[in-house]
Amino acid sequence: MKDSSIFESEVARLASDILGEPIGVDGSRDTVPAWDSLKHVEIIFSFEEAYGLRLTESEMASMRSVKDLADRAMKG
Amino acid sequence: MRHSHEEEGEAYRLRPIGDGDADFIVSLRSHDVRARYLNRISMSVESQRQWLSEYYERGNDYYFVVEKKKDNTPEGLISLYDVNASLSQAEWGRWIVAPASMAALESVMLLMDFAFTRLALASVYSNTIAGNAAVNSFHDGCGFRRGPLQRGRFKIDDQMHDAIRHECTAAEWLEIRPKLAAKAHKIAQRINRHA
Repeated sequence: MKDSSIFESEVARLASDILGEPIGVDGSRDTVPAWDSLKHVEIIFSFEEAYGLRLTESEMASMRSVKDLADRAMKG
Repeated sequence: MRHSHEEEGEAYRLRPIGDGDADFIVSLRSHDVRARYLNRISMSVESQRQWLSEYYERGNDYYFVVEKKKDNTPEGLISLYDVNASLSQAEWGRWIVAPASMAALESVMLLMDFAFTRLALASVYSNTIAGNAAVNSFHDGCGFRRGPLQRGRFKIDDQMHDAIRHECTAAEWLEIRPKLAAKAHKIAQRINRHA
């Protein structure tokens, strides 16, 4: 089973690709200005596709960081 | 102004603001960290009602509540103001969406549709504090065109702030809209699935 740091690296890479700039595993909507509302939608849908998950509406809005998404991916 | 316009989207609607929304305005603009980039307002419900009573008298100002359709929950605010009929243009702003909401994209689309379809304006523009990188990034990502930097456009807490102006003509909106609509549709599907 993958540990959380692997999920974090994967999600950081996924978000970096969409944002067009490198972000670290500590990246979040509060610290990365390019992670705006529009990009957030793209990150969420790309995340869902990558992990075969379907987030609820409240999860979509509340997942605000690489760590949030990595934790969700790990939970499955 | 007191108006009766509503704009219906897939998951959200814009409805006219009213006195009963004063509490919502205060709570949204008091507690959201992003409100630091908006003009300061008085934080009391009573003074908001007073502000609204003055707004009702302005003939070129449309203030809306962004509401989720499935349960009528208010999730944001957005306005079209300084409507200039002779220039066929208006500014949009006073835009704020609750942190736990996915209404950002559709609320802007509904306001653009209102401006270009209902009011048949030729162009709209927004002025965003230059330091508000997330909102400026959102406007760029939507495809709104950057205009000239507005030096010292805002004064907040006795500090002058430059603003970035974004513009959009009716013709540009026709080009931009389909790309945004596809994303808004995917969000709406998710929201309405849980209705």
